Amino acid sequence: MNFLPHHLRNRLALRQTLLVIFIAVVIGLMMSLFQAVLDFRREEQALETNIRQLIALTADTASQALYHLDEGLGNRLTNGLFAIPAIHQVRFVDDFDQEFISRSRPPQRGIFSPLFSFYNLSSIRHKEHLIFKPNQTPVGYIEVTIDPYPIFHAQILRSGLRLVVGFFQYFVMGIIIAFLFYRGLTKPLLQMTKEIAAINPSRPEGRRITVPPRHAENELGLLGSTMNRILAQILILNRELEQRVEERTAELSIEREQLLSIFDSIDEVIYVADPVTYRILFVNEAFKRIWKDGTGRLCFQTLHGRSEPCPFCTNDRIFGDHIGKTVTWEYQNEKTTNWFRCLSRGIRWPDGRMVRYEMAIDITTQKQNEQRLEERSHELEQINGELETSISKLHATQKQLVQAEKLASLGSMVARIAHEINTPVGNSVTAASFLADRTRDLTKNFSEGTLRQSHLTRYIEHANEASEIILLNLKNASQFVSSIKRVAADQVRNEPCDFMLNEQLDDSLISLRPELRKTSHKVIVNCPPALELHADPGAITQIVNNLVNNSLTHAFAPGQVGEMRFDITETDDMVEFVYRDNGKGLDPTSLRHILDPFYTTRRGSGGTGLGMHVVYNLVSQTLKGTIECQSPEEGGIRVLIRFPRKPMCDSLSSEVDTF
Amino acid sequence: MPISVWKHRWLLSLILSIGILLPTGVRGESSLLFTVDPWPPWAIGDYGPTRDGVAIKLVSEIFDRVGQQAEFILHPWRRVVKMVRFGQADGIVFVQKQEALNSLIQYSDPLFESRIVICYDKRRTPDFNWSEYRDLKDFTIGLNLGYNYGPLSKAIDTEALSVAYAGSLALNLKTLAARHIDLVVGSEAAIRSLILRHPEWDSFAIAKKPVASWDCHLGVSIHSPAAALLPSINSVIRSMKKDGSLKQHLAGIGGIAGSGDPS
Repeated sequence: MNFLPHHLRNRLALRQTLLVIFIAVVIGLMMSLFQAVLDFRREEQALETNIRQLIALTADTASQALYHLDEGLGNRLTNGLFAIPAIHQVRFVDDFDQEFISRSRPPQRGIFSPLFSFYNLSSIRHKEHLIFKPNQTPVGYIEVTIDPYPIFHAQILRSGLRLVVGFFQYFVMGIIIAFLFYRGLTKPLLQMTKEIAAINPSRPEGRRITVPPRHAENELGLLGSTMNRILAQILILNRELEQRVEERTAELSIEREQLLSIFDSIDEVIYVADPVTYRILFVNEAFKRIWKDGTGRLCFQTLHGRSEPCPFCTNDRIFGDHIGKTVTWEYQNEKTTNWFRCLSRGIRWPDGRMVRYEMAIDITTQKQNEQRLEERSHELEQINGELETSISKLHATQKQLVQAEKLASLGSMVARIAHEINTPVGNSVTAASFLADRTRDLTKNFSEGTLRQSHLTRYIEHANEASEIILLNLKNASQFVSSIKRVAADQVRNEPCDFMLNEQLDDSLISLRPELRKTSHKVIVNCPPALELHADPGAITQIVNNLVNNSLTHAFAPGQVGEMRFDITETDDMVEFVYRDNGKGLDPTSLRHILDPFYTTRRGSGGTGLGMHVVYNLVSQTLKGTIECQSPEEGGIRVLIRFPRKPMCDSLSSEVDTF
Repeated sequence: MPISVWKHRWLLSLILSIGILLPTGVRGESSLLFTVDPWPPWAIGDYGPTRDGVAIKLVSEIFDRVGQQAEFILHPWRRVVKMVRFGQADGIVFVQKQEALNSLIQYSDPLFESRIVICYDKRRTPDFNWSEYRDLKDFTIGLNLGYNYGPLSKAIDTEALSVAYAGSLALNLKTLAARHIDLVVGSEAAIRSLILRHPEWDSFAIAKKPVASWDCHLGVSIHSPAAALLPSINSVIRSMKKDGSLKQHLAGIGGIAGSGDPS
């Protein structure tokens, strides 16, 4: 309807008329097309029937022509059939399958050919087998091809004519209906509409609609009276609404003032900006303290000193589908160098538009603290590194100390050995000197000729006595040296071997004899004589040595006669090695730390605190066993060591590596 | 199947194959089909199978003597020729030698002579005789519609002869008897046969000079198994001429003689 002037285009009567005509034409066109197709099919069927009838009528003549092979008769028959325009081709085929007569003419085509092709209508063939009736001889067939285009063409023309007639018919009817519609409905409706349009709906005051004459009782009258009632209601409602709007406006004003005062009272920066224009709509007092009153200015210019919107602006994260979500982010203001944690959110402003609300919390102090903390952490890391270096050095020192302990132990042993050997050797030297003096006296007497029987007899007695003394002492020294050699060899070998535990304990105690001899203490060994171990014997010696030395050093008071016991039993290839003394025992703290390295109660008296730790290492590493220290109520210390009879012995040096 | 026969199954297969492959005429089991258009008295009957007619009976006896069954069917002439051309018939019962058929059939020895003659009414023209076509100018000649009369057809135009066409020879003879025409041209055998069947036409006579004459032969399709029988057929024809049986067949038609008749 765009072709109509605007004032006509909106006329209800005209619109209805055109709509009626349009619908009538469309329906008429569809009905006509439908009717045309039906007519075409009907015509086609009728033609087909006619052709069949025609063929049936001409069958005798056709069979006559084919039977006699009479071309003249066949041609005359063909001419007759071609008098029908729809027939496009006629063929006579004889019973020898030879084409007897074949005649065709080009199919008719015209302006409706595309439509004809669209419907995919094609030629129709009729084939009739012929029999020469006098002697019932099949003589071939006749084939007639129909071109349906002429029928289609005629049908289309007829349908078109029907459509044109129908169009005029519907057009005239439409105009009449439109006129009646205009007179009866549109015109009074327009009049009422004009009156309604003249009324200000917000202020109808006393204005009312005039119902057109003769329409008081119909729908228009009902509409007019309804409108008048509505106008009266609107008037009342308007008054109520105005009152409520005034009240609500006052409330909102108060609420807004309260809200803004709350914003002002918050000691963090708050501002509201338009996301489209980037103009600041509101700032609180905290904002003003930093950036002064930026109301009406551009946010990116005021806050960041930029000439265009900030690249990190969060507008795209708080509007659209993100309305109602608060985005929290941090940034350092390049202008003030302060750090802020910002909470951005889209809110509705009193004028109805969506605006950007942002609260910026100054976290500069927090950031500074974090930086300090980070620096302190860095320092701690450095200190930690230094500590680790110190620990490494301490470990190295520990190794050195262990080595020193070993050397000290070795020195002590050397001193003990020297002392032990010195006695028999000294006795031997004294006896030998005495024998040498007696021999010199004898030699002198013999040279001077004063030698007597009695001199010789006394000399022989002295010589025998001295020889026995020398022999006895040297034998003792030799036995000691052998024992020391065996212990030393065990200490050096550090390899597991089969040995009798009882003998190894005796050998170990020999090396302790000098210390023991200075005291009145007793060492009791209770070990099965047939108990054979496959282990490092040096470890056993070292353990015995350290346990006894530990008791000698710490357990007994001066003058006390102590007792140290080794009670060894074997169960299921496990050896239980119990050492105890009847000394003063240990307090719980010392008992807890006795196996720790460098733990000693006599630091100033030459104690290194490594003796029991070496024992612990030898038991756990070399003998693959366990050690437990107890301080029983009856006093003293009790060390319970359990290890397999045939442990896989490691190198003795590993005890040092364990520190 | 007996074991001995089963062992020689290749021999049995050969015999069966030869039996199947041999021409039907040689086998003598299936009958031959010969056709011709109706031409009383030589071939009498409606379109379709027939055993009636002088030529039909004559050829039937020839095949009896050869030892071959034959059946006969009447069809329009064009259909007769087409049936032979397409192998639907083994030959033509009797046919004049003509070039158009030479590629289709082989001709037997002549069976009889066919003549086209002029019949007249002795009561009206007792001394009728003719030697040239112009002698016929004073007469109205009755002819059969659609027939070819050879040189007479040409003379009708050149000599401006007066002719009247009818649908059949019998109708022409009736017209002659009714004195509407003066002469009737037709097959001698047909005319004589009709005169014999119509005593009222005993005044009709036949002119001595024929309009045309030719020998009629049994035509055997060159593609038919019957072609192999042609020497036997000719031998039988000669023996029938010799023993007079051929003449006896022709005796039913007054005055007709077999072609090459020794008498």
